Parts: sequence; C-alpha cells; structure tokens
Amino acid sequence: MAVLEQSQPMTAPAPAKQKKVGQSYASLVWWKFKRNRVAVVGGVILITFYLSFVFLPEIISPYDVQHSSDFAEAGPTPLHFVDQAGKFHLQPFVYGMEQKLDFKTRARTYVEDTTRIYPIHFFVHGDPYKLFGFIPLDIHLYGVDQKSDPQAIVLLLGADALGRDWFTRIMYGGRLSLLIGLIGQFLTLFFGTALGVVSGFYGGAVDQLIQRTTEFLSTFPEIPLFMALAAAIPPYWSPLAAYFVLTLILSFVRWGGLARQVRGLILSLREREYALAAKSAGASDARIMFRHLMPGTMSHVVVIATLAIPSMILAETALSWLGLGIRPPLTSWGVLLQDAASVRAIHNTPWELWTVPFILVTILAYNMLGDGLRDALDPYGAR
Amino acid sequence: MSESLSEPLIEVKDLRVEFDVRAGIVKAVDGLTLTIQRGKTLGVIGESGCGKSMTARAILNMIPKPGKITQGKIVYHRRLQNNGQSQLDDIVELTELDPDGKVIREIRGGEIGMIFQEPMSSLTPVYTVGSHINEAVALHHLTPVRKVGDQLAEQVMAHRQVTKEESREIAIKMLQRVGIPKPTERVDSYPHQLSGGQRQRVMIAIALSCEPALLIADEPTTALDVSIEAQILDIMRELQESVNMAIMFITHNLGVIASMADEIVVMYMGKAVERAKVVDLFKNAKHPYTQALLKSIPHLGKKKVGGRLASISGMVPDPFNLPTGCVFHPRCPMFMPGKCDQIAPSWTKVDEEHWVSCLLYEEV
Amino acid sequence: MAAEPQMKPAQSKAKGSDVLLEVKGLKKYFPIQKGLLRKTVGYVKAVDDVNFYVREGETLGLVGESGCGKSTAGRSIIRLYEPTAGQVLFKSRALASNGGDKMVNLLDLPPEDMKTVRKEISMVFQDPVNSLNPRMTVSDIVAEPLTIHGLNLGPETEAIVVRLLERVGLRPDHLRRYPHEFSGGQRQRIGIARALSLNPQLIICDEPVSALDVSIQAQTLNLLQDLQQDFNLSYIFVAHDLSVVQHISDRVAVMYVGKIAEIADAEELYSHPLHPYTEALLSAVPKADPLYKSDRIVMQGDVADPSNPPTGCYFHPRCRYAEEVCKLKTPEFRELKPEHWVACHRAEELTLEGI
Repeated sequence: MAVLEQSQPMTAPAPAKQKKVGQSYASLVWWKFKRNRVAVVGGVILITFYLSFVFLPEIISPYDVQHSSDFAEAGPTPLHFVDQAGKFHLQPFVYGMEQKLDFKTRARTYVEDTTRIYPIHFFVHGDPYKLFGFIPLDIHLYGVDQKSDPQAIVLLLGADALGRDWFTRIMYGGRLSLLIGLIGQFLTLFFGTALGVVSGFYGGAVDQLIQRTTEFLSTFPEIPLFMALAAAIPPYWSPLAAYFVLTLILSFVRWGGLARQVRGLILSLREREYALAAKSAGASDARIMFRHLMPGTMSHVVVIATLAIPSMILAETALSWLGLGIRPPLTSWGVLLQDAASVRAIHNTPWELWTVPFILVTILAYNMLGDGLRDALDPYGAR
Repeated sequence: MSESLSEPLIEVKDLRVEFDVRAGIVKAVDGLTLTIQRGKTLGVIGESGCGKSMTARAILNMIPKPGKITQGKIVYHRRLQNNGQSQLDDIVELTELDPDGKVIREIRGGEIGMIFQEPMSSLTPVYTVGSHINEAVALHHLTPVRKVGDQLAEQVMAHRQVTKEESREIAIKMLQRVGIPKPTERVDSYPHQLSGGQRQRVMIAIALSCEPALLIADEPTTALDVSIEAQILDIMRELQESVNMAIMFITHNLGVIASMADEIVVMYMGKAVERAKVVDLFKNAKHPYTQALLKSIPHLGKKKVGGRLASISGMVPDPFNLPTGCVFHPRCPMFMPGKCDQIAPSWTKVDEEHWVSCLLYEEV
Repeated sequence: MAAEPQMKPAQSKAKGSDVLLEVKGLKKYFPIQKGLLRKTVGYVKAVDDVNFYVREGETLGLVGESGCGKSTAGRSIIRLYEPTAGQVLFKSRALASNGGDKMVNLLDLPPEDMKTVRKEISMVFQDPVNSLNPRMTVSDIVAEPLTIHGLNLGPETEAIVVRLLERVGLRPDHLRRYPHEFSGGQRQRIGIARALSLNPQLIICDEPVSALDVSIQAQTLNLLQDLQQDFNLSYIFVAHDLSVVQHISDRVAVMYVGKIAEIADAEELYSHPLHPYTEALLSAVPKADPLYKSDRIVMQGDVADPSNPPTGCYFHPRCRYAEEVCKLKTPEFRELKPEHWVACHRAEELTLEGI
C-alpha cells in the first residue's frame, strides 16, 4: 500500500514521529528485536548462562569440580533460616551431616546433626583456582567455612558417588556443553555459508559437485560415524584436543544442510537487479557473491544457525552419554547425564537429574531468541 | 460509454478511511464525495497513495486492518430483479452493513463485482493478516490450486439458483464471451497455464458471471501488454453495453481512462480535487494538479518538440505531516500565499457537471 | 568530472563515423531443460538475430511487448547474459592507445579488457526496490563502480559522490541514508547517479520509468534528457510505453519475439510505420485524448511464445495483411527507405497508418 511508504518531501525536515528515519539496517533490527519480550528474555537467559557457566563457574560454584568429600551420594543439603530453638537467622545455614549405612539396601543415608550449624557465607574463601586460566583466586560466590571444620559442606543439589558437589559439576559441565554448541555452530556457519554461496552462484557443475558431496556425507548414519571417528582419536591426545576434534566432526557433518539452504537463497538473490548492477559495473564474481549476495542471506543464516545450536548441544550430550564424546577428567552435561543414567544412580542419587532442567532452559532460551531474531532480521517486512 | 438516463447507483458521501499505524494515523481517504451513475463509467484517476483503491474497497466494505471507515456514508441504490418481472428498489447503506453478514455477501460478487491488477491471489498484496475465504471469493482472486472452470462455477452457484452442471455450462459460455479460445478445454485449466491476458479475462468472467450492477476495476490492464489491454478494454465496453452495467474504473493511466470513462474524478492525497465529464476534463481542466498531470505525460503523436515534460515540482507529502490548508499547495504553480496554506478549499461548481476543489475558483 | 556541456551532434541522416555501438546478428538463446538428466529439449530464442546501431549523443528506443527480448538484448550487449552469437562493436576510448578510440567487439574481449570497457557503458534498471542493495548506504552504492575499478580514494570519492547526487537532484545529507528511506523516484535517481559515476559514454536504460508514477516519470525523463545534454551521453532506452519512447528517442526499434520488426527515426516510425505490427501497436495504445477517433486495429490472440514461435514471419497469425508467403518464409530485414529498416514481405505494397 503505497500510502504507508515513508516518502520524504525534498524540503521538509524529517518528522520526529517516524522512528525508522535515518537508521541503518542494524539499528532497525535491534529496534524490532527489543520489542519482542519473549526473545529478549531468551537472550538475557543465554547471556546469563554463558557468562556464568563459561566464564565464571569457578566463582559461582562453591567447590572445585574435582573436590570430593566424605559425603558420597548425599542428597541436597536442606537450607534453614530457623534453627531448632526457633531462632531466626538472617544468614541461611546448613546442619552438619552424619552418615548412616542401611545394611539391607547398602544405601547411604545422611541425617542432619542439629548440633553443628554452618552458616552460609557469600564470597567466601574456598578451593583455589585460576580465573581465565591465569588469575589466581580463591573467592567463591557462596559456601561454608571449610577451614574451621572440614566436615562442613553445602550441597545445593546433592552429591555424586564420589561426594562431589553436583551443582559445581553442572556449572563446569555447562562450560563445555555450551561452548561446543557455539563453536561448532560457528564453524558450520562459516563453511556452510561459503559452500552454499559458491554453489548457488555458479550453478552447473560446481553446484552439482558440492550438492552431491554434501548429500553423500549426510547419508552417513551419525552415531556409527562418530563411534568410528571417536575410536580413531589417539588415546594419548589430551581430552581437550579430543574435544575440539569432536566439535569439528560434529560441525562437518552438519554444514551440508546449511549449505543447501544458503544455496536456495542465493539462487533467488542472484537475479536481483542490484547484483546485476554490480556485474554491469565490472564487479568480480567474488565481490558479487560476498559483498552483495551473502549479506542478503545473513538474516536467514543467523536464524537457522541460532535454532540449530540446541541440536548441537543435544548431539554432544548424546555422544558423551554414549561415552563417545567428552572424556574425564573433563566434564560436560552429557557426561553428567551418563553418570545419572544407571538404575543405581536413579535410585540412590536422583538429584543428579537436575542436569536436565538446565539443558532444557538453554534450549528453550535459544529457541526464543532464534524466533525473535527471525522476526527482527526482516525489518522491511516481506522484502 | 452508454447513453442511458443517469441515475445514481452508488453515492459516496464524505468518506473517511483511516489507518492507525505505529507512527500515527494515515488518512487514506479524507472526505471523498462521488457518485457512480447506473450504466455509466466513472474513471478515478490519481497517483499511488491517493486513496483510489481504498475507496473501492470501502464500497465493498473490505478495508484491510488496521484501517477503518471513520466517517461518511456509501449509499447503494439496490434494484432486485424478480426474474425480470418486477423490480424492487431499495436503498442500502453499505457502511452500516455487517462486514461478514449475509446482505453484504450477497451484494459482493452478486451485485457489485471487482477485478484487480493481478488476478493470481498469491501475487496480490492483500494487506490483511490471514485471509478470509469470503474475501478471496468476493474479490475474485484466482486461487492457483483450483481449475479455472471450477472457480467460475462456484461464483455462479453462490449467487444464482443453478445446479452444478448448469453452472459449468454457464462457465463455458462466459469464457467464450470474454474471448478465451477453446473454452470447453480451457475450463479445466489451472490459472498458471493461462497467460496474463487470459487470466484477466477469466477474472472479468467471474466478476460478470452474475451480471452485476457495478463492476469495480482497479488497474485491470496495468500489468498487461498494450495489445492485450486493447482487447480487454473492448470486452469490458461490450459487456457494459449488453448488461447495462456501471463501471468504476480506477487507474493512473490517462490514455486508458480517456477511452473508457464517461466522467472522471481526480484524486490527490485521499481527496477528490476535480470532477468533470471526460472531454471537459481533458480539454478544460481547472485544478492545477489535473493540469500538471495532463501536461506531464508524453502524448503519442504530437510532434516531438524535443522539449521537456512539464513536471510537478516536489513530492507527495509525508502522510504524517500533511500541509495545512490545501494539501497540494507546496507543489502548486498557482499557489497564493496567505490563502492556500491557510484555508482548505471546498467543492465548487465551475461549469456544467464540472466541480473543483481549489481556492482559485472560490470566493474567500 | 563534469564535461563541458556540448551541443548534440547535428542530426546527420547517414550512418557516419559517429557510430558508437553497432550490434550485428545478436542472438541469445536460453536452453529449455527437462527430465532428470536435464537434457536440452529446445530453446527460448529470446534474442534472435538483432541488428542495430547507436550514434554518439543519440537515444535509441527499444520498444516491444513482453517476451520480445528487449531487456535481454540490452543486457546481452554488456554481457550480463552471455550472448549465444553475434558481434557487439563498440568505440572504446579506454582501450585505445594515445587518446583516440578503438572499435572493439565486446564479445571477443578478454575479462580484464571487458572490465575496462565496463567503465564506458553503464546501466539503469527498472525496479527501484531491487536495483539498490538494501544494506548499503547511498554513498556506498553510488561509489561502488569507483571502488570496483580501484578509483575509490577516500574523501575525494565522497566529494565526487556528493556532486553526482546533487546533479541528479538529491541532497548531500542523503549520503548516509539507506535505500528504504527513499521513494521510488528518488531511488531511480540514485541508480542514475551510480550509472554516471564512471563517466560513461553509453547508458543502457532498462525500463527506467515503468515502475514510477506519472509525475515522477516526467521528472525522471527530464533528468535523463538534461544529463544527456550535459555529458553528451548516448542512451539505449528500453521500454514498453510507446509514448515515453517517442518522447525521449531519436530513433526507435520495434521488437517482436526476439527479432526487430522495424527501425527508423522516431517521428518517421510513428507517422509512417512500415510494419503491420508497428501499425497495430500504435493503434492499440490508448490515447490521452477522448476525442481521438480512428479505426482501431485490435490484434487477435496473444503475443507469440518465444520458445515455440510461429513459422515464417512470427507475426503472421495476428497480422491482418498476412499471406501465404508470410507463413513460409522469414522476412528479410532490409533498408526500405533511407535509415528505415523493416522485416516484412509486403512492406512495399502496404500503406499503413501511423499516428
């Protein structure tokens, strides 16, 4: 409807009411994105998660990830504000725990010892670590004073069979799981887009070759492929190296799908008149492809990529759960799920399933963000 | 261009259609008054954004959201035939009718037909979010997934008491009427198998299948080649004669309107600025906008002076920042300071059946 | 950058040494591929043996209905589509040594030379929405040809862009804006500024005003004429609107289904057409004059299909003067009157009506 087109009179100044005047594509996108509450919430959740789990797990969790204790298989330590005597404490506290062994089921149970009160402090000194790998610190967000009584422990989400704090494990596990999703997807984006652009622009033999190759790759059954490749990783490689190779493998198999989608977009964009205009001015193929056509696909690509990260995280989770992915001492959510996957674990330490909500929230947040991006990245409407 | 006595068929009175968008309120139609005479062709001419399409939709009470009719009346002098015997004359206020109600749905398609620039529904930029099936049928969009004959037949059955077989026969006859070759074969084609010109003819067939009193044609030939356009215009004229149908012909093409219209209304920014009989308008235009428009088109056949076309200076104003007084004044070569920017002109009669909205012809 | 305004060269009737571009036997066929193995089952003969020339400083109008190949011809000349056959001879200055000019066949040029020649021929497109990259600023869009040829020198370039924008009627503060902030007419101006940025000799205008409102059309046509005067430009003006073409062109070529039906001086063509298609076309155009009376010739049927054209003369099924020979033989494109070519078997016998 032409009447809604923002036309500018040649002499009148720009009216203040029109928010869209004088704004670049990027600011238009941001403006539209901001108005989508759901997407913003998703974004905030993700930023919080990434900041906490990737950068700051050492600070947020009370213990080091390998810190084992005598409290194997202890349940979540109850927090109290009111003590036995009925007195209200401003600072929450936990009681000490006594271990009891049930001879029939061989299960360990813990009983609160109300004589020992350990208040929870914030920003306590605890296990030392190196922040970002080089800053030596020992501050933790919360914890109990271990120095005075080594039996003091606070297990927000319980402990595993080795007495390690599950909350800490989830935090450290999140670091790898969240990162692998991001880095892996980034690689997929890079290669997939490049291949798709070249494939769609040239068509013909080049296109056929690239398409058939990606199709061939995608017909491989994933799990056996990973099993084979994981088995091929030499055992003397550090777990970190193995981790990166795993990321590479995961993204390699996926970039065919993205390439195909990008190719489709390019096929329609390459006949746009601005691409022809560039060609008529003498632009090289590379310039047309990467300066004119590829940016036109970026909005779709970003959305596709964002919505694909959850599946990447889930893939890592599945592989590690199968034992093919991350190896100890590194930990990821997949490894944690593997710990929780036995009958014994479900019976004795069901709080290990607390990993699941974290995964769910991450995936949900990515979907919310992705949907919001999809709407925002097309600020011109159906253009 | 028929010669029957003029009686009003549709009277639009001070129509106002507004769109409430984020940045403000857009007055797509701003106080428009016009009359369509029974059996005659009214041409509505104007450039994009002048509100001519919205007026047409208002008549059918199909303004897309977020627009609405905020003021005015559209009076329809309805004449119902009882098998050609008696006539029942009725006055219906179209804006008061329930937009989804029975009466308006009878009228749409049955008594008032509409055709568009691009008949394929996938290509028509209908602004509504989500589409009514009613709207598709009423606006005669051709759906790409159904056979042409079926769509025609459906339209016929919706408004006439006929059986399925009879409606198919009527459909074939209509296709023949509008000049589709091999109609018995074509009736089973899909829209994409027809050329643009043929699709437009099918649209006309659908619109005319119930012999409506009024055909609203919104840029029906703009997307067509000149040679096809000539054919389509001929068909429209023929059918108008045979059925005594009125046509509201909306276009920006002055050549087309000169050959089709009996009377012309010129619109600018949602208002009517001039109205006259066709010869009068072309020979004796009074409003500066009309004059400028006529001078700005290259006329075929005139000896090429090698000179420039007269163009209207400036641009269409920003709908959120309309000029005061006469909305055309910033671009008007006859601008009178102190008057045109202060006072809004009113509809003045300057000649026999010739009205203008311009302060040059008003006593202020 | 602005050359001194030069007078248009005198309208010499003979094809002289001031021919800037000559197209000979231009063909562009698009293969039709069907089946799993994409076998070629036929061709869409979009441009089928087209011959014409353009002189310095003149405007050649290329007119016809949909499917006639006029846009394809325009784009094939500068190898946006690679022509299937033919020659495109162009008087290039950039490829000539020591300041003169050199006649080159564009279709034979190696890539670096072709890129050089692209400085001298530019193009203006039809669609104001899609002819400008929505993610680039106006400044980037207009300066892009300069950037491509390595002539973008930072702040100096900005001054050039500002001059270009002013020349087409836009303001310097439009530099940092994006295309969506402008109206259709303004976007076309940006496209025109872009086409001027390398100081071309020839501009191919591919339906530049078809998508614009009537009053904006007039402004844009005036602008194109002014620019032609000031910079001694030559235009190939592709359009389907006969009145626009008559107004702006010195000579006009009428195309039908990939072939040229007739070429002549604009006034001559419109007043004394020699081809029945031209006559019918002129007759079909609605005139903006309600008192205009004439026997309208209404062509029957649809425009012929370029993938399956009729035998002999493509126009014969719709031609009111068609005879046996028209169904059998393709008519020869010959110069019947001075500077007036036509492809019709019966051209000598017929007296056709113009405007």
